[in-house]
Amino acid sequence: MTHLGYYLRRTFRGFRNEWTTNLATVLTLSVAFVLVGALATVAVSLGAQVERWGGADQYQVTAYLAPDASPADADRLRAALDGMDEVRAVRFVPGAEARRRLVETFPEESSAWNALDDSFFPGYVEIGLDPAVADEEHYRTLVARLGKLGIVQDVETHGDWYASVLGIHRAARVLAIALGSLAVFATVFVVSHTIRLNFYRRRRQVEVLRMCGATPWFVRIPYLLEGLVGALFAAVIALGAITLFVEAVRDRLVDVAPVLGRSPVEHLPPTAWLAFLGIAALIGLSGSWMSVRKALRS
Amino acid sequence: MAAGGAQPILEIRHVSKRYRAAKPLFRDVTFEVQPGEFVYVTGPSGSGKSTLLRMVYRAETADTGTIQFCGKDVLALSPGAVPFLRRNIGVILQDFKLIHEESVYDNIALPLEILGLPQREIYDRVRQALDRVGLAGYEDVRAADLSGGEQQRVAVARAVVTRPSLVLADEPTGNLDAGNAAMVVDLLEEVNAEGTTVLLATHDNMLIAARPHRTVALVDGMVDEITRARAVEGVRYRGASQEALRP
Repeated sequence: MTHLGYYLRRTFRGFRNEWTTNLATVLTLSVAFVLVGALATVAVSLGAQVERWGGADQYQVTAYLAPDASPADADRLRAALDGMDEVRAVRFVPGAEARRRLVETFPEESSAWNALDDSFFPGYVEIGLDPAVADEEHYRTLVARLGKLGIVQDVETHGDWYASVLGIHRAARVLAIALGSLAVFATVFVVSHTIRLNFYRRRRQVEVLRMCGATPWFVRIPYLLEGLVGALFAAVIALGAITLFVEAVRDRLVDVAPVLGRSPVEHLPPTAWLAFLGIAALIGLSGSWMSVRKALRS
Repeated sequence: MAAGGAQPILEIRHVSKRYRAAKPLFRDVTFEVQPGEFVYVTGPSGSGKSTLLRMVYRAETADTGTIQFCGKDVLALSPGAVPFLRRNIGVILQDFKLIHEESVYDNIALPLEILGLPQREIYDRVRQALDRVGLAGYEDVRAADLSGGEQQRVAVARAVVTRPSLVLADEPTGNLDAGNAAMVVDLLEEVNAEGTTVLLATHDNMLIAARPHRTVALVDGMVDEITRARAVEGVRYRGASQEALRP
């Protein structure tokens, strides 16, 4: 640790003296990290949605009543469902409330909603199955039976949504991992080539250091730090850009949030930030290690 | 200056080196240097003076023989031990080998940074070294902005700032005019007078004649100890005089 001050000064000078090369490398790495981070954000956001719909919401069924169904029909249906073990909650939503909910969700279009005829807003029954009791079989049976009832016009389930979002989430995750792996590979080489270039530009300095009795580690460490700091700097820029991007998208999708229950775009969690910074550090260290080891041998 | 009977600081025994099989650079080179001596290694260009000096700080290896520095065979050192050998040897080269984009202070401080000394001590020692070579006040000047003579004085300061027991100077006056060359040799003699052993490689017979010290010549790949008279003879032969060498 007696040399720490020297290493830090040497790293800072390295950045300053070769600032154009180092800046180009940091920006290149930032762009790669932003791409991977954006895809990771999409995967995380879809994952959160999948988790929400995959929990209690996964077995959420909405039965829209036929226009000629009376309140008494709705009460009988609710009572029948309430008596089932696998049903956790049943709630009847009259047509008027359905209209009110829509007006609350999309207040800008309230005049249009209010102008529509009552028949556009059939009452419906929200049925939540108990995931602890209900399984896939219960769920499918209930959906099929509801569909056959004369007083039920249509049955909507979250299962279909869940399946499609789950598919997109899996694809996004695979794509993020694949793109991330490619980005790691490419950025390691970008760092490696930058450090090699810097090393050859400072060949004389290395010769002098060795002549004066510097160990290989003494020569190496400032270059390793240069790669490490560059990659971490790029990661911080990328994380900052992604955070701003998520905020901007959230502002634009503020109208959709109530429909989905919460914001459709999630910030990367702290663990992902740590992983991002950790991988960036590894990229910086391994890239510079590759080039300095080879250069010192030659 | 020779301290007869003491343990030699440097013992070169039966050292041979060849780059081409047909023509050895030198063979069976043997001589020793006592602590506190000032020794010239001379010989024509290509005789292996620089190679011999580079072997002492293990920038080169020999084909055969041993080079004992303070009782340790430097040719047998493991690669990991070489940096620690070099910390005990100051090296001055013809092309100065300064880091041009760095300041005079940073160039001289470098060997002390390698030793891991505290910044306060580094500062004091660099100031002393700059005073000694007559460059006080040049701390912040970039090495590239100095004249050749000034650069070589910085190189001398860098070589002696760690107070090494041996200084190797490879043609230190080769790129300098007579005035600057004399100043650099003055500095080396001052360092030597304080007890540091100096091994100076040069093919400049005028220098050897003007500043007489023990001289080891590499001639036709063999070692020959030559006297001052022969060195002066060599100068006369080239039409120069000793007086012309004085600053």
